[in-house]
Amino acid sequence: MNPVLQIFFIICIVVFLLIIIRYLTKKQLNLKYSLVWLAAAGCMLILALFPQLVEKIGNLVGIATPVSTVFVFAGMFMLLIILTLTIIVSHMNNRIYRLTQMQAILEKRVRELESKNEK
Amino acid sequence: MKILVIIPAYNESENIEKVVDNLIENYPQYDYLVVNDCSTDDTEDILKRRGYNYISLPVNLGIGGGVQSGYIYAAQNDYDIAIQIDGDGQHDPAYIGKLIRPIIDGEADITVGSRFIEKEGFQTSFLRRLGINIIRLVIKICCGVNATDTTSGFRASNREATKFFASNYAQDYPEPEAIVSASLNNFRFKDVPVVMKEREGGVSSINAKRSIYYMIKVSLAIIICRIGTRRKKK
Repeated sequence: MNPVLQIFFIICIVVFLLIIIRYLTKKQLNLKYSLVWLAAAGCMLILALFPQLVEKIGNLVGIATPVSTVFVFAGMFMLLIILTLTIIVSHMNNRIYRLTQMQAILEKRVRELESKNEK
Repeated sequence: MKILVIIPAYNESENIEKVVDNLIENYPQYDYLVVNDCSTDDTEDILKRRGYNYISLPVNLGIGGGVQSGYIYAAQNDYDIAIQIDGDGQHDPAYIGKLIRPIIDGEADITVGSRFIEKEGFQTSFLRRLGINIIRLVIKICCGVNATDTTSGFRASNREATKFFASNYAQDYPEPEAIVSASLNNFRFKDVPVVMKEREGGVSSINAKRSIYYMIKVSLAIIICRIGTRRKKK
């Protein structure tokens, strides 16, 4: 691989890692959800440092060019991330339902207690 | 025996007064609870002005989430039987006695009012009947229960089934799925013949265009529910 390209990749990945860590320290990103991103950045960094790995993996599963190998694995990774996000959304959805229902029932109790107090 | 009638209402300002007044005047033996599912019309003002017993959801949850709040309320307040009737006046409370009879006699845990057993009164459109029958077939194959009016929202449940619904209730297409999940969890199900009226005002939540989409999703939901629940040994 062209060394300039390699340095470019490494810089990009380091910036990506820094962005993740910055959001983590500012607590705008839960550690629970960021592990998959950190792992992804780690994998990319290893591949950028040792590009011959990509070729080896490609040969192993029979993908002709290293570029395709990268695209295939990037696509798979994105599917995984999107699925994870959908699971998180569904989970939150259930919790919002329960909160809404409990809030409505509590609101009724408050309303009744208030009107009792007024009498 | 404490009995609660749950009335889910979404934009039912035209019908809700008639439905609730009828219950209060003619059936004082039942408690009732109107669940206002964040209506955009003046349903809530009517409920407040008339001093009805109601809860008002701050966010629209759809029929499943709305009805489930009623079941949670029933479970919290220790009701023996929870009944669900539509807020649009389709269901005549005169049939409640008939509907809860199998539960009181201990023959069933959940009952559903069906307009197709005696085929009297409003029978709905051909397409809707076709859809109901397809769901009926899917339910029969998946869990061996014969429910003739799978989308009927006129139903009753005993204390245990109410508790079950309070913690597990399908959100998107609750009527058919509730039958499936309840019978897979060994609640005994019974169809009860009732006569339904055509809705008096407002618009039904199911229109012709969405029916096919609805059918596919319901069938899928039932099959997934069947795969996900192992039938417990009696």
